[in-house]
Amino acid sequence: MAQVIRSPKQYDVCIIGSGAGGGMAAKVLTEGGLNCVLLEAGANLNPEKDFKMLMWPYESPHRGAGVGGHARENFGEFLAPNGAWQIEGEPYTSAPGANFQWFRSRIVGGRTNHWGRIALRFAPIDFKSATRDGLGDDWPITYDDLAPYYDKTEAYIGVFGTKENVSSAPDGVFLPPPKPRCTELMVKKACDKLNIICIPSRLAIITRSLNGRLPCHYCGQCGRGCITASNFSSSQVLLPPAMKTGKLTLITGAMAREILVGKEGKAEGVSYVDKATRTEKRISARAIVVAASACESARLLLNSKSSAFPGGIANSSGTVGRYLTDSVGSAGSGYFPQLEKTPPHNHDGVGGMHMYMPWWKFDRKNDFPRGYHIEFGGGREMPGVGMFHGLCHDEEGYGAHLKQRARQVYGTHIGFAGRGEMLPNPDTYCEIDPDVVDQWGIPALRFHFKWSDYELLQAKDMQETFRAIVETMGGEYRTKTSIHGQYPFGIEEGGKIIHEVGTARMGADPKTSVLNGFCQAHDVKNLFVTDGAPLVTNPDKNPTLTIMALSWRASEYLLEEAKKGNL
Amino acid sequence: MQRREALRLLMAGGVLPALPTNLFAFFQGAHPASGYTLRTLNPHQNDTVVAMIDQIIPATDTPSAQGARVNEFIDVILTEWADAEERMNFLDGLAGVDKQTNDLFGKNFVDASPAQQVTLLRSMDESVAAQRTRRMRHGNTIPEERDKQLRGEFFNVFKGITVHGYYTSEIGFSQELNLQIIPGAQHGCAPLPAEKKA
Repeated sequence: MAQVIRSPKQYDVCIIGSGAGGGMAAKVLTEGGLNCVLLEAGANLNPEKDFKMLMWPYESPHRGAGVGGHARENFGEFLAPNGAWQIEGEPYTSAPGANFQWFRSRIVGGRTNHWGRIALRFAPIDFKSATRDGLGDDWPITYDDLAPYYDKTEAYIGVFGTKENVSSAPDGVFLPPPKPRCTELMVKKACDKLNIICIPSRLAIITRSLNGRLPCHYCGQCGRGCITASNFSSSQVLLPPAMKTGKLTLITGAMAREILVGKEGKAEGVSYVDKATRTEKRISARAIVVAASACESARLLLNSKSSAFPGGIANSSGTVGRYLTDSVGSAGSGYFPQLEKTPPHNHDGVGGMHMYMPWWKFDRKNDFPRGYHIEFGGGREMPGVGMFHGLCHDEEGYGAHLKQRARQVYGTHIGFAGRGEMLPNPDTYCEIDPDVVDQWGIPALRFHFKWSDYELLQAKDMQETFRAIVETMGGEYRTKTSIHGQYPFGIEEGGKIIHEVGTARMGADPKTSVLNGFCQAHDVKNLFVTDGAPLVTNPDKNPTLTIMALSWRASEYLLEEAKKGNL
Repeated sequence: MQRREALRLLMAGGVLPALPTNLFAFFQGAHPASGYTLRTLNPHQNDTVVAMIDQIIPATDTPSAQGARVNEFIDVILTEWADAEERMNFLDGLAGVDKQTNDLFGKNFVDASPAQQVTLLRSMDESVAAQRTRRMRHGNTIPEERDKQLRGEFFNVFKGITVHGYYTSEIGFSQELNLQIIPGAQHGCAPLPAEKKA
């Protein structure tokens, strides 16, 4: 790759990554009048062709199975085309004992094409971690700073929900929620008995027309992508208005290698690999917005070494890659004989839960410091890969008996999944692996990951709660976990929940943080990071909505600074 | 209600006016061809698979696994999704079935009597069940080995893929499970009105 092709044009802003953070930056910055170029490592997306909406399993020869017949590794073939745990030619490594799992997307819109659409605000206390009990750190901004941007984001993308006044789960700007399913009403009844708060969920799916988007048609398959854009994705909701301004240049197949530094220690452009031609190209821009996903962004910063920044750009604190967290995940399921012979209902609804349990034990002393929420679902769902695996696994047999049992138990299971806050710890971070590069010679990441007792005790509490709910409902809790082994209390491997954040965190002190409260690098004032990397804490409120609110706020600030000539 | 019928109603009701017509061509194209030619299984292997899947999911008030063309589904997965090792293990496993029936009854599985076939299935099922119990005694049931659908003991793989193929088929889906997913509206937890005949 000897020849480097320079783009003659200087853009106002180069945005790296087209997911939630990058898409929001593209929309706000172009609408604010700036000329932006958006680099996306993956291919373009054609929803009508790529999304398998309204397709039954039997309409595909593979019936939803992925390569190798695998069900879950990449979530099967019906999922919106969005990425994988392993990408050929793009390795990452884990330090011994870590076994971190990293789901990466290489397509316009990134992981927003498939995400669960769970759109939860962080609560005021989530921004005050250290003040609360000395664990973790405070954000340099408060809930009140971000609240107007939560309002704007929800109003723009469309989120359904209800006003509930639960302190751990602030209310937002909501569209009406879909009606609860039968199974959800059963769970709600048990939760009421147990004093567990169970309320309508908050998902970025529109139940009424919004900005020309059609309301949800209730096919129940959001994960496959939505041709009518009734659920939120960056590719269908944020990028079209940005393109409409005429100020956005989208370059796909562009793998960013390095942020280039000018004489005064400012970022002056990006060098990237054009994957189609395997040539090295350069973009010049007056400001850079990095939104490649938390760990990919950390990797890019660490790989951008120069005489001004020998440890990587914006890394004078040495904290790029540190403070990595994922959500704590533990799941279980119950069998409910009363669901046998349930008649069919038209309650397929949206692709996701209509109700959930926000963190409800915020008013008492627990033996672990941070909260979790519970997601659940079940009943008569679309049969897919592995659906009757439990049957094959738990029950011996074959023949008419097996077939009868399948009919009998179909739709009688309800699964529960806890999603909890992990506190950052010194043993969990990512760094550049000195020995491994990807197919373009870009140094790869190495992950270190460790759950602490805080998270293990939280997973234990999840398992006990699931059991209590199932038994209160008159069901049988089927999941067995032990304290020992690789998955104590069923805790998932780090990275598995795909909520990795924190790797270029914001903070008031440039010695212990990478960014200020506007996602602007302390060291390089024309460099911003607007994905999950800036998050100081990772509360049990899936990060996507907060990423978008932060990105909107950062982009407005960038616009102001650009106007003042401060970049 | 058929999915196509549901789509037609959606279009008529103006719920999905934006859907392009070429979408429907795509759905049509996604239907597996009706005259499928086997690509991995040879005729004898296919006969063995058919005999086995019909013992695992026989015809009752709904069609059997063969009736739902599960053998063709298995051939598709072996041809297109299995790697060389998984394919070899599967075909070796099939040969092993014949070896066992030959040892026990002096004939291949397809030529064995239904009672003899069942005897062998029971033996294979019990043997993997014993291994399952041993594993479960050692702790978690959580490990996600279920991802590896084509890996592991042959009978587990065979039974898993048979069940998967059957219940994701149109027959398994709508006749056996009586599943209806009806886009266009959702009514919460209220029973469906009696269905109008189309």
